[in-house]
Formats: sequence, structure tokens, C-alpha cells
Amino acid sequence: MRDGLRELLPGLVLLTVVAVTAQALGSRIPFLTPLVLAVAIGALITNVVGLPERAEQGLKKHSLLLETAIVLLGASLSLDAIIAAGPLIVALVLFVVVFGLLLMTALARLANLNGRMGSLLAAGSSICGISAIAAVAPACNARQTQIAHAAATILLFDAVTLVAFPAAGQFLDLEPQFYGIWIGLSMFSTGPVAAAGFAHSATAGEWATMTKLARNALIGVVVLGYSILYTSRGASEPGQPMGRVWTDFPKFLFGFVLIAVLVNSGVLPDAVVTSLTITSDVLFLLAFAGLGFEIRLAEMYETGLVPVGIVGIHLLIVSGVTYIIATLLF
Amino acid sequence: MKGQGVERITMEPCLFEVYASLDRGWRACLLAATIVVGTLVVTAL
Repeated sequence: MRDGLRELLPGLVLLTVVAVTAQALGSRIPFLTPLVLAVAIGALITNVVGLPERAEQGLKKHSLLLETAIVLLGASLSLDAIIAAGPLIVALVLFVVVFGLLLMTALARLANLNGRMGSLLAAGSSICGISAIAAVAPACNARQTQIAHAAATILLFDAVTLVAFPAAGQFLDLEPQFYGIWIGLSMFSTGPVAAAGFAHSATAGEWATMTKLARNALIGVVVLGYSILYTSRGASEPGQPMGRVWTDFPKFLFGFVLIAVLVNSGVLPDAVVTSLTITSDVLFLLAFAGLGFEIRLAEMYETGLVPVGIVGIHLLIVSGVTYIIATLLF
Repeated sequence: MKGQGVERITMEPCLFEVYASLDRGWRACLLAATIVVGTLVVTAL
């Protein structure tokens, strides 16, 4: 056990240093969240300096940290937030998520992109950016490089939309509620959505955040859907026993659902729920730092611009459709 | 007798080995459960 810990320690220390640095910089640099910075710093180190061999074992643990963070994320899943957002917003969110997932799947097939990569991009663009990619990855048994490439593509669009949507809001002179709902339905990650919303006005920021949180709440359902889809596909392959369905099933989902049920039924005190949410954020930061270390720019170059192209088309179509629907409803 | 005792102790799987034998998803659940219990205890104190 002591040898095991000794092997893990250098990598875990490296993850902690990156996470602390990202947290410190994130509070000083506007529009860049610590999560984005953690990925960026990890990617910078691995591509510029390279990794010491003895850190590899510890760095591999970022997947476990990520799954633990997702289990604890169940503590911040609020059914009240969904109800407060209103039935119309919920209906819109359901439509946009289903439409977005189907559209990305179709675009990925048209572009002849790997199915798992298509699923990662679909989840990332339709639910909540790289958190959704990370949550869906174990369900579809994606490779680390695919996760890293999908995350990098989504991060690129997070940066672009953070500038483009507020500019569009100003140019089109949109009402705060309309603008907030529109970006909450169209943009990818929660941090940039809130930032782009509050960049317009406080009211727009509140509507954007509320709409985005309602979208995020569907993450469990989407992960469950992908789990069933991929495990059934695995079982149908020749030579794959039915037991594979259970072996491949991401068991951390049980923990996620259990904690969400415990919190929403009021079993856990508020102070504990707050602590669990903070712990989940810290674990996400460590896991994202580890994810950054998986980004290999040389391999991304080999993947080409196809993911960037189809995510761009997806964003244009979804934001166009949500704009038209929001114009009719609000 | 001393040798048997040592043998018995080393053959018993320690908690770390049981943990290491689990699927990563279950490990995540176990780790999260430990965090929840630990937070409950600390909050209660």
C-alpha cells in the first residue's frame, strides 16, 4: 500500500499544484474560469515541458477523481430549481437538448466522425460543456484522447461564444429576459453562460443561469441514455457476453442518484450539502487539471478540423432555432 | 507458531486490496460515501 501511495504521490501533487494555480489565476483573469485554466495549464505543461515518468501513475487517477466529483455533484441537483424555471422553460430545454443531441449525432455521421467522439461532442454542446463530456465519457467508453479533443473543441467555442453572444445581444438590442433565455439554451458551459449573461445585464444573467441550470439537470438522464445505448451495442457485438452490459455500466451513477435523492428529500443538513458541493468543485478542478495533461496538440492536429467544423454548424443551427422559438414565445 | 501467525496476517486481504479490486465506478461511490460520512461527522462535531 505504501509503495502504491508513493507511486501516486508525484502525480497527485502535480494535479494539486495546477488546480491551486488555476484557482488563484481564475479569480484575477476575467471570463476565464478556474476549470478552463486548469485544463489550459495541464495542456501547456504536457505539450511544452513534457511529463516526468514518475508522475504518470498519479495523473491517471484523474478519472477516479472525476467520477467521485460527479457522484458528489448529485448534492447540487435541485428539483426546485427546475420547477422555479417554469414549465415553458423546461419544455424548451427538453426540446433543445433532444434536438441538439440528434443534430450532433447526425452531423457526426455525415462527417464520418468516430461514433464515440460524436457522442462526446453531442453531450458537450447540448448539456453543459466539458462537464457533460466528462460525465458521458465513461458511459460510452471513450478514449482519453477523444475526451481531451472533444473538451478542447468545446473550450474553443466557449471562448468564441463568450465574446460573440454579448456582441450579438448588443447589436440586436435584445431584451434582458429574451437574451438570457437564448444564451442559456444555446451556449455550452455554465461559467461562460453566466458571464455572457451578466455582461449584458443582471436580469439577463439571472435568466441565463436559471435556463442553463435546467439544461444541466438533464445530465443524469443523458448519461443514463448513453450508458444503455453503448452497453446494449457492446452486448450485441459478436463474442460479447451479456455480462458485458453490467461490466461496462458506469456504477458511479448509482452514487450520483442516491446523493441527489438524499439531498432533495432533506435527509442531509444544509451545511453538509454546501460542503459536498465545494468538495465536488475541488475534485472537478483536480480532474480537469488531469484532463489537460491528456491533451496532445500533435494528436489534435491529426484529428483535424472536423470536430471544430461540426460543432460550429451545430451552434449556428441550434442558436438560430432557439432564437426563432424564443421570439415566438417571449 | 510465530511463523503461522505472520503467514495468517499477510494472507488476509487488507482494506486497500479490497478497494483496489473494485470497479472504478464503485471506487468513486466508496470515495464519495467516505467524504459524505466524514463531512457529517465533522459538521456534527
